[in-house]
Amino acid sequence: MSAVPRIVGTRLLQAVPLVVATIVVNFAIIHLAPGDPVTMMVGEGAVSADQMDALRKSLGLDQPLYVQFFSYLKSVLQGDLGTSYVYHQPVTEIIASRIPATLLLMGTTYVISTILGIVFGIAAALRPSSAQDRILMTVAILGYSVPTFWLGFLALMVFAVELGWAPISGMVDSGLAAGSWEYWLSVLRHLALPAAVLSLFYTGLIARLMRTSMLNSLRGDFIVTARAMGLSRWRVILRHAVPNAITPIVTVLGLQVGLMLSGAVLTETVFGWPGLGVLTVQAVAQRDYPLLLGMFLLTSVMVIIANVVTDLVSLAINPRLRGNG
Amino acid sequence: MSDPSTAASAGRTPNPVPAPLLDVGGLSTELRTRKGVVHALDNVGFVVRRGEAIAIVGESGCGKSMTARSIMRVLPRSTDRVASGHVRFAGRDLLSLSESGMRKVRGADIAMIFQDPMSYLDPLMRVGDQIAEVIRAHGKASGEGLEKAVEDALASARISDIRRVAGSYPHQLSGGLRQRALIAMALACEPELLIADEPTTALDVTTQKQILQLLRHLVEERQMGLVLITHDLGVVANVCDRVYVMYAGQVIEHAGVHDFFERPQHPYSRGLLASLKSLCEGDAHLSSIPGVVPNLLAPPAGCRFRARCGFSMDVCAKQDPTVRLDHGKDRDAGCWLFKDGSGHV
Amino acid sequence: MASLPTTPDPRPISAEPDELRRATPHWLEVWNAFRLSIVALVSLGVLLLLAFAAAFAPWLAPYSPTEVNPMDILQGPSGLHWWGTDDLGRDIYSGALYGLRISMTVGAMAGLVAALLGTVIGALAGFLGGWIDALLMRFTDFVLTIPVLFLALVLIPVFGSSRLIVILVIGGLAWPSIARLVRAEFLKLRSEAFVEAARGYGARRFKLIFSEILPNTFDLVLVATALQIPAAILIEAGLSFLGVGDPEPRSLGLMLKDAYGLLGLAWWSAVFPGLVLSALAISLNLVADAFNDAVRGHE
Repeated sequence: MSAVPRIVGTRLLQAVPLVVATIVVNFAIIHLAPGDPVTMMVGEGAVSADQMDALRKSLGLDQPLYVQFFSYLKSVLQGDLGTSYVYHQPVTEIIASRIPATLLLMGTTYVISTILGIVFGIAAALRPSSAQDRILMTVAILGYSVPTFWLGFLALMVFAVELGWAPISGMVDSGLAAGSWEYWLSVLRHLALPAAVLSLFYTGLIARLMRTSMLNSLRGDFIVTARAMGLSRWRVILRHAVPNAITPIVTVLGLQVGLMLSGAVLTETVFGWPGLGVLTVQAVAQRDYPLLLGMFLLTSVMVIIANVVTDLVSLAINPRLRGNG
Repeated sequence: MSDPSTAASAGRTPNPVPAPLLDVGGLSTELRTRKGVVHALDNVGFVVRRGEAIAIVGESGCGKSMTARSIMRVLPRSTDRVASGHVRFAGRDLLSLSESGMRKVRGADIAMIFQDPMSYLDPLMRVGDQIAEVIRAHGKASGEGLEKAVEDALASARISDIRRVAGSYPHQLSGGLRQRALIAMALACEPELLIADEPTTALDVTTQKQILQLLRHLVEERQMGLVLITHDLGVVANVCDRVYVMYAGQVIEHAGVHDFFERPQHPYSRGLLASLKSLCEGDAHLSSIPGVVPNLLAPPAGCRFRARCGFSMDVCAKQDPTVRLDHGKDRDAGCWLFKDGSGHV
Repeated sequence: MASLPTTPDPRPISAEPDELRRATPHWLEVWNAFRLSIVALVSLGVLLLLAFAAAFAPWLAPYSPTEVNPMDILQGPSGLHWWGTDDLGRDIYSGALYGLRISMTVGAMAGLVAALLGTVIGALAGFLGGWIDALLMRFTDFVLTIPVLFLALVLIPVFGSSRLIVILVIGGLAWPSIARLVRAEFLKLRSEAFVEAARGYGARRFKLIFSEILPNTFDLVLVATALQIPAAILIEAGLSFLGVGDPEPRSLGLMLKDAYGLLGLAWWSAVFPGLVLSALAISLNLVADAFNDAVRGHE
């Protein structure tokens, strides 16, 4: 009788209170915001006090707090995150239109960084304290020490402005038919620089992590057994050392998603990439609370989901977590 | 050469007179550490014959594990090396083999099992797969024959629930089963020599007995050679025919198991057996001889046990008696008490 | 070839018999290990240089960072303005010096907040154990997943964009690694012999924490905090770059924001402040890393 379904079920259940907690936090922040939502909506002095009262009533702002919370909860669960002050469109629609761009950037970066980071980490760990190791690790540290937005900035200046190799901003050249391969080619050209810059950061982090984990794994007793049984060096490394090195860092790799969101905000701003990051910054500047909080809620949920997925992947990779079935 | 019939203990059939399976001599190993070169082994030698089980005993740090590692050439760091000596196995000197040549020997001709099977097995692989991996690596079977070979290996370790064990991960098995699985992996390619490094230390007493019985059985049934490394003298008496005592990287005494327990010669051995007698049944910890092991970064001149020896004489400080240890005799001790200047006992 | 474990014997071959080990003070041992790396020493030198520059900015800066010179806008590097001027004629070198001050202060303060929170939470979890420990650890894992920048972006419009808020948010999210460490130390030391002995003398639990356990964890906490500081500095710079941070006084991030607006027109306004920021983060990371190796090598 496998314990796996029970564990998966438990994990999913555990995610629910987290999501609810996030909604509560969101709600709390809304009401901590200085000023009345109505005042923010209509601006100072533009409308009479009576009209503001009427507006408040219609928005249900005169209700006790817990009533407001439940109606908020209800609308969130129905997918209604309010309406943007600035765009006058439903928040969910706005976010939905920007998600693909961010996912494209983040996804590409995630894949590149993870693969490169793991490879570099392994390469460094195989020859500890050698020149190879030191160089790789110093480059890795440089990668996550240099501010990404500055690097992106410099890259823009050099490659786009001076050399003209890359476009200056945006995701795709205008006027191209969506879905055509010229369209995708253009997207690729626009994606190259931001993805490269963002990847540098995360590759550095992951490389360091992987190196430590790999060194640990190579010290394992099971490696001695493998060698004593006459297995070839590469077999020992690839079939035994590497999987045992990756397993403990899977959780951290999942955490990168949250980190990457932060990085995406900065990179998107620098490169004018039309994703959630730019949207967030604009919302902050314009005090567009519904949009801002809708995005916070969404990203929190995304992070929670990423964590659950990571845990499930851990479960799949590491048999020890599955109990003694 | 000596007459190995003295190796027989009461109740066991005397072994025939075979050629040595493993002949180690003058083995010296150096480990490179941050603080300098540690002379882990100095002039270590012993002989194992087919169907014979020898024990290498000594306290922690005396070099017994390092001896096994040196023979298998599986030393911890790439900078460690065997400085001198010979390791003759089935006619070849293992130390002169290339790495790929040695790989063919490991696991197939000579196999090694270890102390704590939980950490010595890959936690991410099923037991059956790990065994299959070894079999495949040495070309002993492939494809459909592989599954049968794995089952045969598990059976030879006297595992009954073969299917279940093969499909299990290490953490799903009990300590005893894990050790049997490790033994099965070692036996999979039918090696001629088995080196067991503290195989029962991590097990409870009942399981210890079972594993030891299994090892003894394998030695007799397959006419394998067994090198049992342990710090537990109680284990030695039940399984082995000969004993080699190590101290501070050197072999300081060797004898047949019976002779050894009745009349230990070297003062260190006497101390060991005295502390064994003074304890009740169970673990025989060997650290009850006062004093500390000498620093192997700069080993003392003369006898290395001198500082802790109640019988030390002037000559002990000047000359190392283990140089005079004679492996040709039934028993000998590397101690000036048993040799006068001219080399007579 | 790969590194393999040493022998499984309970007491491995010791290079020095116990009696001969000289009593070197712990910090000296750490420093000796640290000294071995040239990279670490150079980074430490750079870091000290930057600290010096930041501390003595008012005396080192040839101009006031806010001084506007309409006559000298957008000048490239010259004898008058070593790093050039921006679009308002402000001297970039002076601005960078003062900006450096802010970055280092923010880093230190956020580090302090993280260290305090981490130590308290870690100590509680490790010392009290049981369900409190489990709960705190789940909470710690949760905090680790929160995207810092995002949270800051959400909280700043609500609570205001003062530098204090930024420090609190960053520090308030940087403590998990410190907490984990402190907890591990508490768990380890709780069962150590000397704590048992002290208990035998009737020492009260609370006193034990301060007199025995904390001093042992001090350098580990220091290292863990040091490892968090560069990220804190970069996040603060990022927030300023987005125009969300505290505009007064001008931080390096803000200078870079202005430089971004001048894209292509004044490369010096982007390159130099960024170099300073990078140098700070890089040297901090390298030093913290070497420090980490040095401390852990002596466990």
